Amino acid sequence: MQDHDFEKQVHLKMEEMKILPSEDVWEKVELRLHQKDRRRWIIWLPLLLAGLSLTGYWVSNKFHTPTKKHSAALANTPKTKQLHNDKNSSSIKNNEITDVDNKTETAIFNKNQQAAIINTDHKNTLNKIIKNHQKNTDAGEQPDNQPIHKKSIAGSYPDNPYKLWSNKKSQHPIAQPEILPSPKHIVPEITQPENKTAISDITEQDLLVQQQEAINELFPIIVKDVPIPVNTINTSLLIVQKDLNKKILTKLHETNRSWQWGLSIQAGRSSIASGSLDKLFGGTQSDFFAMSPPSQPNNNISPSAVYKEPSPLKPATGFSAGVFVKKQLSQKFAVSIGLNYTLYSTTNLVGLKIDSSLTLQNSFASNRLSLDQFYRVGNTGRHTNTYHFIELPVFLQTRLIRSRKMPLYWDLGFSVSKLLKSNALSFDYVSGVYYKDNQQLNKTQFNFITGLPVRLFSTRKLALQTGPEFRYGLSNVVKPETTTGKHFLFLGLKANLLFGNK
Amino acid sequence: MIDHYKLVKDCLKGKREAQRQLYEHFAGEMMAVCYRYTKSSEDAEDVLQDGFVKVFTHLHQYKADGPIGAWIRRIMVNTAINYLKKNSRYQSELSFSDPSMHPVYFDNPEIHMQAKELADLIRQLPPGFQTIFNLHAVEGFTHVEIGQMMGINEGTSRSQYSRARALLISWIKKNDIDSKIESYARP
Repeated sequence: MQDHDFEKQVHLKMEEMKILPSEDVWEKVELRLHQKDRRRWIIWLPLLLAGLSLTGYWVSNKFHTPTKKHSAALANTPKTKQLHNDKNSSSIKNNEITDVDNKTETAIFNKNQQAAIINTDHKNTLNKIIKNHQKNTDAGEQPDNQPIHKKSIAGSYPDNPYKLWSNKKSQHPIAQPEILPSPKHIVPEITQPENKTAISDITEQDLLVQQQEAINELFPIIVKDVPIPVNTINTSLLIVQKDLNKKILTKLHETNRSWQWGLSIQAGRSSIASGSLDKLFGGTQSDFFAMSPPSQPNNNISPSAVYKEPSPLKPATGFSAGVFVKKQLSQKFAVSIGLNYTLYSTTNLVGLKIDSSLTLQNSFASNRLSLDQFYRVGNTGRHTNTYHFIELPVFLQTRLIRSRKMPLYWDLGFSVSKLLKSNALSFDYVSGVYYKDNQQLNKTQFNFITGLPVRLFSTRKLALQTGPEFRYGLSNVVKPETTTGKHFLFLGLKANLLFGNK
Repeated sequence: MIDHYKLVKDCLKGKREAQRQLYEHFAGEMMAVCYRYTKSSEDAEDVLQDGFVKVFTHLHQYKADGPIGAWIRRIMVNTAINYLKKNSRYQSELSFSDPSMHPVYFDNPEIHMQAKELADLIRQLPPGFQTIFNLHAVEGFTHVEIGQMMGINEGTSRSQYSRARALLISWIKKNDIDSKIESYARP
């Protein structure tokens, strides 16, 4: 009991005690709260942008109806022709084969008159294919392999960021005395001497000369008409000199930045398209992300010769993330080099997956390709064809709109990428199956990249740029021996986080 | 009279003005709490700053099942203890010896000194004594709770508290004697 009296007294005395903290405690609390909010935004904004682009792709994909006209899977063009017919005593008439036992089966011919005996259970489906093939007399389009003409970027020397006083101004005649503003508020512009091309060429002598000219300009009347105390002139000189030095240092610092590093992330839609770049920009939305139909059958194939067509390729997720280093060349131009992991993907409908062996007669690798598993043609499931690359992009960034808050830039660049892994399916017209054969893929890709990022915010330590980006694969997706005219496409949003921004 | 409920709601919306009001309302009281746990005003302000950042960051966890002041005070006490544990100046002195037999004091002197003077005396205790004394005598935590907070057992907490109490009482008495001598010495 008695113990508690002491504690009670202590408790009451301490309860009534208040001590006012210093003023800057709240300022520090406020600053830390602000930093927490900004940190949260920096982490979530690129993820939000990626999420928005994926959502946009999903929504548009939901309403996109692919047409059979634009059939799209990578198709194996058979180069040699072997008539595949086990039944030597059968006759072929109107695509129906009647064998010696009078059993009727349906023959499917590909564009090179190869025939495969098809189970009559699939006859209805085959009839539809036959009808569609006969309708598509203009199917197939020779790929246009004209080279893409690059426009060279005008590499003119950037405008000199500063001007120093020229002699001409100091010779301007003075009409009458006027009230000059306080020297403290005047910061003279600095123009470059005629024989100098860069700030690094400007010597200390130049600075002294210009300083004197600046002062003459500032105090023409006062020096002539009104005697002023020496210490006032000295103070003004000091202020002017300080301002000049500060401006020169600021401009030097802005121009001669060291390498900065950053993180970049892109997310959007990727696809495989054919045709030249001109046709792509002139095409419709569906053409833009669709592959061209298979090329025309040879002239010596009868009109009734048909073959199974692969299902259309649909665009799917494209993603890229990596690091980059950037160097400012001038106020307007910067160059950056990066290292990214890039993922392109497409999807197509497939039938049942068959885990059994199959030998393809006309494969790219050799005349025969043995498979352990393959997919039949059908609508059972959707297969995602993924292409994993490691990429080295090089960009030139040009500032288009000079704005304090949100300047707009134009990125132009190229990249070289190496295929690391892929599960993309190829299609064999002979057997009418989808199969995986990475040997057909072009392992090295050259890409053209362009974008329009805008700088959302910039602090002393970091800056965030974001905007749309478009990529076009200059190389063919598959090796030319297989087929030509297939290029990767990507359209999405890019976010760049730059560190060490000063 | 400040409507604490409305103020908390505005703070949760991120309104800086509301946050500043909440801070100004409780800053004096919380600064006194931090003052008692530390050895300098600078350390006390550091703890106060950390504490209020935690208050605003975790304000969404306040369930309005008690006064907001008590909730803030609890955060401030925990922040102070964490500060003492992490700060190298206090770390070495925050050691607690094993419980041993200790004399029981029944002294309950009357405290004549001002609150600030008493607080300054408490601050002169060794950091371990100071912390346990504050937690038990001022905040009202039991020795079981103190043991959980400080990572010591209940017996150690009781022992440390008894020693702290005895030491403080001896200083209070000495201070009383000195005050009386001074008052007698004045003309």
